[in-house]
Order: sequence, then C-alpha cells, then structure tokens
Amino acid sequence: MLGGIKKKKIDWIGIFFGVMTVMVLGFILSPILIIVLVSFNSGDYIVFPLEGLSLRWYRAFIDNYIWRMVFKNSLIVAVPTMLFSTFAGALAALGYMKYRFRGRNAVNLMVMVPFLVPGIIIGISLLMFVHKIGLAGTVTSVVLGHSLWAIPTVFLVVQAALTGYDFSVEDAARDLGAGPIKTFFLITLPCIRTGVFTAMLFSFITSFGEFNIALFLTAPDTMTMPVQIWNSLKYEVNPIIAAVSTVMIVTTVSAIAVGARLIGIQKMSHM
Amino acid sequence: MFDFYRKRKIYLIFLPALLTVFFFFFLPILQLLRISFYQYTGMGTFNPAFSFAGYAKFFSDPYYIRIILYTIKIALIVTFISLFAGYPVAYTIVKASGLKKIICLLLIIVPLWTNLIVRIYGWYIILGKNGFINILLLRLGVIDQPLPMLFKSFSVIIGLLDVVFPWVLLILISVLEGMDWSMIEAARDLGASRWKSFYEVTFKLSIPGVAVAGLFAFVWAMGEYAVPSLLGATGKRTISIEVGDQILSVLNWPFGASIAFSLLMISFSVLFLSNYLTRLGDQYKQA
Repeated sequence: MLGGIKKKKIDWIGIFFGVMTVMVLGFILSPILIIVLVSFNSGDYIVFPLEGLSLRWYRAFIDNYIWRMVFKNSLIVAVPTMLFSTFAGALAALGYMKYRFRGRNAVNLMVMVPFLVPGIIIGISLLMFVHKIGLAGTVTSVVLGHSLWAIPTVFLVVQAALTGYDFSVEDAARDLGAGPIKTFFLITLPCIRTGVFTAMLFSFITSFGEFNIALFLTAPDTMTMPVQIWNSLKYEVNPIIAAVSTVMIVTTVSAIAVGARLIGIQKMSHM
Repeated sequence: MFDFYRKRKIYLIFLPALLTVFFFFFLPILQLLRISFYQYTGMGTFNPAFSFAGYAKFFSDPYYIRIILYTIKIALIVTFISLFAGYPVAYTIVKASGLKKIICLLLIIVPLWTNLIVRIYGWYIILGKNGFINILLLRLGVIDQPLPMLFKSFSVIIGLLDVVFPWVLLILISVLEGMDWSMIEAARDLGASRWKSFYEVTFKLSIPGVAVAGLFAFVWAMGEYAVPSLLGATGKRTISIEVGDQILSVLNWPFGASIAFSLLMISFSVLFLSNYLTRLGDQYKQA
C-alpha cells in the first residue's frame, strides 16, 4: 500500500464543512443556552457580565400569582391534549402501518395537513369557528386546536417507533385462539408501549410550548405560559421570563432525553 | 364477505384522528373562506355577502403589495441562507458516525422541540442594545456605540433562520442518507477529485431533495407570526402580522380572513410543488 507514503493533502472541504457545522449548531443552540445562563442572574436587570448567580428569579416566578396561574393553565391544556392526541394519533399510526388499503395516502395527508399550515391560520380559523359554536375562550377550544398539531406528532412518533415491528405476531396470536382485545393488550400494546409513551411526551411538549394557536384561542383567565411570555415581551424584558423559560427548556430536554432512551435518537430524527 | 367486513372496519381505527381534523380543521377553514367574502360594516361588524373586496384590496393596494413583496423577500433570504449553510452541516452529520453523530442529532432535536417564544426571548438577550453581542464588542473595543440589531429585518431573518434550520437540517439529512453512496465511490474510483465527485454526483443527485427542503423553509418563513411580531420593525410588516392585526385589533374579520386565505393558498401551492418535486426525484433516482 503506497497510500501511507503519499503526503496527505489538506482537506479544505472537510475543514469548511466542519466549521459550518459548529457555526450552525452553535447558532440554533445559542438562544437556549443564554436563557439558562441568565436565569441564574442575581442582578435586577440582565446585564453582561452577570453580577452573580442566584435563584432569586425562580423564587420570583413561584411567588408571582400571574405566572403561577399561566403555568397551571398550560398544564390544564397540555394534559388533556396529550391524552386525546395520543389516543387518536396512536390508533391512526397503528392502522396506517398495519394495513394496506385504498385511500391510505389520503389518510396520511388528512392527518398531516394541519401540521403544514401556518399556525396563525389555524389560530384565526378556529377562533372564528369556536365563536360560532359557542366555545370561545374555553380550555376545550385550545385543547382541540393543539390536538391538530399533537395528533400528527403522535402519528409520526408512533410510526417511527413501529418500524421493524412485525405485525404477523398478532396474526399468530389470533391463530392460537386469542380474541382481538386480548391480542391487543397482550401482544400489540407491550410491543408498542415505549413508542406510545414517547409520543405522549412529545404531544405534551407540543401543547405546553405552543403559542400561535393559543394566542387566538385563550381568554385572560385561560391564558397559557407562552402567551403570557409574548405579552410580557411586548412591554418589558423581565428577568422572571428567563426563569420561566428555563423551566420550559428543562421540560423539553427531559422529554427528549427519555424519548432518545426509549426509541433512539436516529428514529426520532427520521420523523 | 368476511374480508369485506374486515376492510370496512379498518377505517374505524382512523376515525378519532380524521373526525378531529374534519371538524376542527376543514370546517373552520371553510368558514374562513366564507367569511373572507363577507362585507365589513365597521366597528367589528359584518354582513353575509359575496364580495371579492378583501381580495381585491389585498392584491391591488400598493400598501399591501409592499407587505407581500417584503414577506416574500425575507422568506427567500431565509430559505437560501438555510440551504447554503445547512447543506454542509447535513453532509457532515451524515458522514459522521457513533457518538459524534448522536450528539449532532440531539443538538438539532433540542432546539426543534423547544418552544419558539422562549427562543425568541433568547435572541432579545443576545441581540439587544445591552445584549450579549453588543457588550462583547464594546468590551473588545470593536465598536464604541451599541449596534442596533433588534427590531430590524436583520433580527427577523435571524429569528426565522432559528425556526427553519432544525427542519431544513433534518430534511437534508434524510435526503442525503437515502442516497446511493456507491455512485460517489464509483466516481472517486474512476479518478474524480474529491470536490468533483462531491459536486458532480452527490450534489446533483440531491437537488430534488434540497428543493423540497427549500420549499418547506419558504412556507414556514412566510407564515411565521411570532418572529416578525416580536423581532420585527414596526414599519416593516409581514402578511401574517397583517392577519393578526386585522383579527385582534382592527376587528375587520372579513379582510383578515381574505389575507389569511390568500396566505394559505400560497402555502398550499408551494407544498403542492414540493410534492411534485418529490415524485420527480423518485423517478430521477430510478432512472
């Protein structure tokens, strides 16, 4: 092998690509990292360099009535959204992966289409709709709005988790005399439960952090955390927002960590 | 007979998802379309009518044409930057292996799922007058006045790039991973230089996929509301800002609906084009 003797040429493309990777990943991470950093700031304002570290803004978050209320409201919306969209989305994903039938592509398109539409359009069309059917300003309307995005999320996550699952084991169970319900609970569910659990987490964070739809559908007493952050940012940059935001970031990162552990990062990035 | 019964039952499994989409997506969109033809009678009131006035105003008034052009301009800039900067990154990640690859994918997935309002707040802290970058540059003596970076087209582009980058990267990664790498090796074996084999084979084969990523980026950037409303300049408005204002402050629902429906039609035609390109790409791969 003469390759070893030949002087190695500098791989300029490789270096350029490497630098771009660091820059782009650094770019998308920088707002998240800076928030976590300033949330521990001890000064009255956010000034660099930070005066010192403290938990005072977390304390302020807990002591503040409004922030506590919007945090609770976010949970009140996110939990039902998670339960409903996991039910609807996981069933759809199971059917989509298991069966070959006429209209399969149409079903896929129908479930996914709200995901591809700008949030503001979903927000305002639902606002006009819930006015008409008398659900304006209710938690239900926000849950339904969020489900439009949470169902496609679950649909994708469960599909990703189901790749490699062999549906013929269900037929085997049926042949051996198990009824459809027994088969589902004894065979299907244990096999897909990690995928379904991951989907639950992701539908939760989809709803918990959603802004565009919530802005149009919430009333002052049902306002969620992202809407309140939006309101605050319009007038002042209060350091409490950094603490609130860090709580949301930690929620998201934990969900991803659990998901990565359960179904693997490769599958999660192929949705 | 049993088979037929079974097949009919298959559709039941989709019922909860499809009913939700039907009642709370398709019906509201239809109602939006209907309201877009209503006649505005002032002070938040309107009459059922069949008038194209909203659409005519939106597509002929120079004020709104400027808004449309500005929105398209910003979305195009964001699309091109995200593709040019994203491609090398996706390529590097596809070529990486083991822990390095997993970490890179994680670093894309975390921002993707982190709520957007929070990330916009991060840009306030980074780009603000007393923000991270200004203080850093002042301390280093590069500038002696803080640079105005917030509430400009610049900050809108930064914010939109932050929105589209994770999506563009994941689409490009899946495009590059789906490619037939043996062809690139063949080109190398036949004596093509590294650059030439990359450009002639890898890049040219991935063009349909890159176009799909670009169209998605464009649609996202055009329809985004939170970024221009929080990071944008007051004088330079985008289509979605105009929709939000008509609905929330002016209370001219018919006109807001006309603008929103126009935006939806633009998004759909772009996505339709992307679907067409995907199919074209599949044929291209088979040939």
